[in-house]
Order: sequence, then C-alpha cells, then structure tokens
Amino acid sequence: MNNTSIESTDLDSIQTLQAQLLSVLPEDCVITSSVRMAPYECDGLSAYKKMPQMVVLPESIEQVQAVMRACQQTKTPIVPRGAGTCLSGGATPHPEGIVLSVAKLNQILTIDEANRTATVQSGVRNLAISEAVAALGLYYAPDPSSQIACTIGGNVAENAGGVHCLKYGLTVHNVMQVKVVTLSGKVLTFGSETLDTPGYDLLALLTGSEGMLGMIVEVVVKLLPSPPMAKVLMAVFDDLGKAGDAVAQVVAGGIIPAGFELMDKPAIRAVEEFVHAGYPTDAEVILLCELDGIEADIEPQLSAVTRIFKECGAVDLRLAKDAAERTLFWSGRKNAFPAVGRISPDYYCMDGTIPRKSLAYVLRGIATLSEKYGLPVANVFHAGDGNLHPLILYDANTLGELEKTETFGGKILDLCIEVGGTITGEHGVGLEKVGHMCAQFNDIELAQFRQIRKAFDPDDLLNPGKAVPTLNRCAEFNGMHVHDGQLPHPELERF
Amino acid sequence: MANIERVLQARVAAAYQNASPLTIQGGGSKFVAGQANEIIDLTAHCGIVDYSPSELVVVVRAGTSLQELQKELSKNDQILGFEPPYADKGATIGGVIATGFAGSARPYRGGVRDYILGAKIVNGKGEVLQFGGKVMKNVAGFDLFRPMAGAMGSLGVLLEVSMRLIPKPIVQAARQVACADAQKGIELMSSLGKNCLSLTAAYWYQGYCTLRFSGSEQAVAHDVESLGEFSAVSVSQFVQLDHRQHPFFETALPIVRCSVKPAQSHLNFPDDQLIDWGGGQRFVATDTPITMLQEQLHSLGGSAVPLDVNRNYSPLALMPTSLADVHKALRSAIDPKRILNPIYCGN
Repeated sequence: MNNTSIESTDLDSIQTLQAQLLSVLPEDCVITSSVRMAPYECDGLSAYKKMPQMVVLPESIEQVQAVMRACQQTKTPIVPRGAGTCLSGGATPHPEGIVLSVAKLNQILTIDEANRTATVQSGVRNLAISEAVAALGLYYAPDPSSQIACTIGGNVAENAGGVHCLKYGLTVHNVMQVKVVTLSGKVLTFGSETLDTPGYDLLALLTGSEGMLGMIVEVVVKLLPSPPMAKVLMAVFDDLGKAGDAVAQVVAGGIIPAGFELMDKPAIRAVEEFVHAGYPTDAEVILLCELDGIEADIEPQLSAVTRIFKECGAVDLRLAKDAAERTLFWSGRKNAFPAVGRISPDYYCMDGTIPRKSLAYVLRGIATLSEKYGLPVANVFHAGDGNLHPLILYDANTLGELEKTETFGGKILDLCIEVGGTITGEHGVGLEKVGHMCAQFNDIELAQFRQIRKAFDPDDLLNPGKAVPTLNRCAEFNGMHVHDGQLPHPELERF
Repeated sequence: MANIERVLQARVAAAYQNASPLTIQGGGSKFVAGQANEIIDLTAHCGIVDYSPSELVVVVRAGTSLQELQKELSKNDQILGFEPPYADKGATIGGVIATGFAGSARPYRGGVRDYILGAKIVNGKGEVLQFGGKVMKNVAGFDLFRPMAGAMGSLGVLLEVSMRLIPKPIVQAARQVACADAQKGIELMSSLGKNCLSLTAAYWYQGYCTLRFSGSEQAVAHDVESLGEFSAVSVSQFVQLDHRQHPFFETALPIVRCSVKPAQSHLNFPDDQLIDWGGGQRFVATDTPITMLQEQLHSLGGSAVPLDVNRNYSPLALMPTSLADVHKALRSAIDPKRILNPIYCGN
C-alpha cells in the first residue's frame, strides 16, 4: 500500500474535495476529525488500521453521484463501506482517500409481495430484510455470520454466503437487480426485476467485485417462502475419515441439507467450555445436519441421514427435540470463534474452500503442519459446501509467533489450492489475500482482471490496492488477527 | 473424448493477429441464421474431464454433447437443474452456456448462470484463461465465469465448464386445471409458487393452467393433494414446451418472447399468448413490430426479444447508452479486436 506522506498539492486537492462535498452534502455527512473518523479506520481485519482523509455518508443517490464525480475530478481514492464487518480488509481505508459509507442509505423502499422481491437501499442490514417480510411468510435466504450488522450492499460486493447457501445459494443467486453509481457519477442498473435482462450479466460480474467497479446504492432481492419446519441432527464420530465419508454419502445420496456443519475436537472442547451446548468433549468430530421443508418431506430425509451416519460409524446421534434444543445445538457452532478466542491470546481465522472429498486429507495436512509449527489449530467446516475455517491459536507477545502463524496460514491456503479449491470461500480477498491471488491465478489471468477493472476505473480510484494484485504485489499476510479475545464486532455471531 | 485446446487457441490467436472475425459453432441446434465468418467448430473438443457425484460437480469440455452428459449424470441420479433443451438436436454444453437458454424450471431452480462454478476460455487475444473452479463458494477474483451464460461467445470461446448439479427428483407429477381467465391463471401460478415448495414448472395457455411438481414422494403428494380437483396430465408437456413443440408454436406468425415480473397483470394483446415460467415469460405470436412491443415491455420494467436466435442480433439498442458503453468496454477488455461473434454487443 502506498504510504507516502501527503504533499502540499495533495492537501490542496483534499481541501478542494472537502469544499465541493460540503456544497452538496449536509455538514454532518462529511467527517474530517480524527476522533470521529476513528471507528472507520479498519473493518473486521483490525490488525490493519489506516486513517482516511475523510469519511463521507451520503443520504441519497444524488449525493453519491456528486461524491463520485468530485473524487474522480480530484483523483481521490474511494473505499466503499457498508457496516465494516468485512474480514479481509475490503473496507480498510486508504490514507489519501475517503471512506464512502452507505450507512445513511438505510431505507427499505418497496416490498413486492406478489412478485416476492424487496427493493432496499444498500445500507439496509441483511437481517432487517428478513425481519421486514417475516409477517408475510417470506425471508431473505443468504445468512452470513454477521447478518445482524452487515449491509446488503456489502453482501453484494463480497458475494456473501452463510450456513444455508448449499441449499439456497449465495448472494448472487438471490439478487435480481442492483443500481450502481460509476466514478463519472452515472447511475447504472444491472439486472432487472425479470428473469431475462438483455445484454451481459453485469450483475453477476458486480457481485463479489469488492468495490472495484462502482458504488452500490440500491438492491432488489428475491424473497423465498419461509420453510414450515426445520430439524437438526447431531452426529458424533471418533474418526475424521468416517465423518468425511458420511458427509460425502449424504450429498451423493441426493440429500441437500439446509445446514451442514462440522467441528473437530479442539473446536468442540473450546465451545463446550464456553456455552455448554452439550457437545461430547471426547468426540473427534461432530456433524450438525439441518433439514427443512414440510414435515412429510423432512422425515424420510432424516431417516436416510440417520442411516448413513450409523453406517459410517457414528458413535452417537442426537435429534434436537424442539426449537429450544435446536437453538442450543447451533449455539455451539455459532460461538466457535469467540470460544476459541477465550482459550488463546490470539487466533488467526483462515477461510478457504476445498472439495468435500478432500476434507480428511486437508485436515490431516493441517494437523501435520500444526505439529511442525508448534501451533494448535481448531477447525470448523461448512460441510455443505466445502468452506473451511481453520483457527490457528497463537500469542502475538511471543517473539516470532505472529510471523510463524502467518507462514503456517499461507501453507494452509497452499493446501487448499493443491486439492483444487480456492483461497477464499466467503471472506473475500480484500487486502489480506492479495498476495495469494498470485498463487491461485497466473499472470495472464491477473492481467485480464486488471483490464476489466480498468474498463470501469481507469484512474485506479475505487478501492485501490485491494482484491486484484498489481504486477509488483507479493504481500504475505493472509489471516485475521485476533488479540486477547478481542474479536472485532464481538457482539456478532460468527460462523 | 478429445482435447483440441491447443488447436483452438492457435486458431483464435491467428484470428486476433489478422483481426479476422470468427463464428463460434457447437452443434448448430439453435441458430437459424449466421454470419459469413470463418467458423471455429468446438464439437471435436469434447469429453467429461471430471465428475464427482459426491461433490455435485461436473467438469466438461465445451464440445461435449448435452445428450452424452445427461446420460452420464443420469447414472448417478443427477441432473442439470436448469433443464436445457435440444439435447436431441445435437446441443453442446458450450452452446447451452453461450445461449443461456433454460427450460421450464427457470423461476424455481435458477438459470444457466446459477449453475456455473468455473470456466476455461480462450479470450479474444488467443489467451487461455481459467476463472472460478470446482467449488460453490469461491470469491477470489472477478467471477467472469457466470457472465459467459448468454454472452453468445463474445466474452470468450468456452473450452471447459464446471457446473453444479442437483439430485434428480425422485418423482414428478403434472396437474392441469381449467382457468379461462389469463389473469386468474397468473394469480394462481403466483400463489402456488409461494405455497407449494415442490412446484418446478407452471404455464397457462388457452384456458388451462398446467403445473409440475418434483421432489420426494411425500413433498409432491403433499402439494398435489392441496390442489383439490385438478386433473393429472403428463409431465412430458413441459419437455414439449421447452423444445418449442407445444401447439402454440405451430404458427406462421413471428413469435416474441416477453420477460416480465411474474405477477405482472395480463398483457391484453389480441394475439395468441402462452404464459410460461409461472408468469415470468410470455410468448406472443404476433405481427406487431417487435420495436413496439419492446417499448411497451420496457415501460413495465421488462423486455422482448424474437424467439428465433439470430447471430445478427445485438441487444445494445435495447438499453440506455451509458449501459451500452459498459458492455462495449467489458467486451473490449476481453476481445479488443471484436473477433468473437462480432455483432453481439459489438456495436
């Protein structure tokens, strides 16, 4: 990242920008004092803090347009920000630029019950959408861990997933249309409220583009009928390979669970000490399998899953007897990160995706590396879709341990790529994994990404230094630091 | 099974050197008209590269016939959820993706692009690139593989595609009910879409609503029972519809495919109309100029295109200039000399 100090010409340019913005936006929408900008100096990747020149909170699309135009004119970098829950530094400020926050674009504009869509401003919280339509028997399916706080605009920028995405899809499968403001201040509409939009699927290109193409201001989301019922089965295994087989057989057997999660012994023990969800602390692995739909449909699936788990050697099976117990079973899994944070001064949360069939191989590889580096690891795994979160426990106060942890983390990502997976399943590339992009893609592919980025942003003003590495880039940081159990946004449930 | 990737790459690279446009061809199952460019034929580049039923993923070369792929998937009781048509006419996977045509299940299961996990392409400069991969959750880099759906080859010659699969439904059942009023038909299909979780297809035509339910025996039985007095009909009606063999299509009039919000109230055209996709797709057999229909549909937030796919067709005229400019810029970033099916989003 460019850390040059601000020169006098740049200072003029910032002051020009500030004057332009104050002529269009109310005074309280343009923040320049360090004290008031402090909450914006990082996102969920709190090890990376940068103070921006300004934080701007527009209240309307017209104001967003004015901000974009002014930044283009003054060549000021823009870092878009939703709720700042990103775990990869996607919203880490640029020291010479502004943070453009959609926090004030927080209105639900229309709920179309007949067509089962909702039109919302990009600053609306993910969970707020489901809450607003619950009375209609509808909900918005993608449920990332931070959904009580994260914004739908951020969800689109990151193509957020969640526990239910094997069955219900990612953000890209649940959004119909997005309005985006370009650097030149134009409002473009990608997608439509119909199933066929003429031309290229720009909405699919925008989704997951981490702020590089424009500023998302309005989103039309699909709403689904709320499932009438859900049941959760916990299966206990004494061997990782057996659990891995069970996962593969459930999916190969034609069952698509609504939720399917795995935790290993270190994770189980940490969680049980913390929330007492009733997890067996001598288990090697547990699987949580949720099935939803109508009762008549759930029962045969439950029988089939139970049979498979038994045949694969499950040593215990527990079916949650009611909604309260269902919540208790899930509370363990949901509190895995803070639970691990309790037992270690620091931890790194990794995020990679692997083919399900490689799970045992990858976890054994991680265990070997853990011994080699002398650092314990707890693993939680979205068994439904192969998204793996190894949590490396370390102490930043021990000399050299941070660097060792980062090296270890990098080896885990290499392992994911080796088995045909990816370096990030849901947390994004952001700042954190820009270096590893060089391992996952070759020079020609990275050049193609850069050309596409340039087509939208010739001056490299939109979230510069993020997501797509420049030619010279080879940063090695690739993990989320957690110090003294102080997880950023500790109030959020984490998956 | 054959891999002619090097040959294909060399041909595109040569075409780039000479700035000579190419017509990308698969099985020729869908096109009625073409351009007079040099043809690059993908059918020799075929075969299933990797198929993991337990991963619900298949990786397949673009020239593989849809029929062959469907046979393989069937052995493991898996299908392509979007039900692409024309397997019997020699459709290839490349063409399935490039045209983006999905069958009756579109509103209930998603479209072509919702099932693509990755793609290997040759771009307009003759470079081989790979995007996405074989896993569902993957947010590294621009997701260029999804926009390949419907791009008619203009964003790259498809070499290989990885696709997400779904389990084949255990049972399917179709029911029909008399519904003289098209508006009532639209409302019925909309309400069933909310209340019947196993609904996977619905259309209205000349006084009848026809519906399809797919899934487990229990799920289908539950939804069928909730209908009451509907008559049982064959599920093959939907296969017919997807292949444009339904009686509606036996007309000398041009057919226009209108895309609207599914609960859009009935469009009172005087002509014969088939309301498909639970209301979201409406076919009209009419000699009204399509530009008039396009204007009308545009004011409703929708669009209209001719049924017959044509290589001389470009949608840029249907959109605001600012959006057309983005299309051209994206295309230029991938195919700077406009050699890949040049007309689509070219000018």
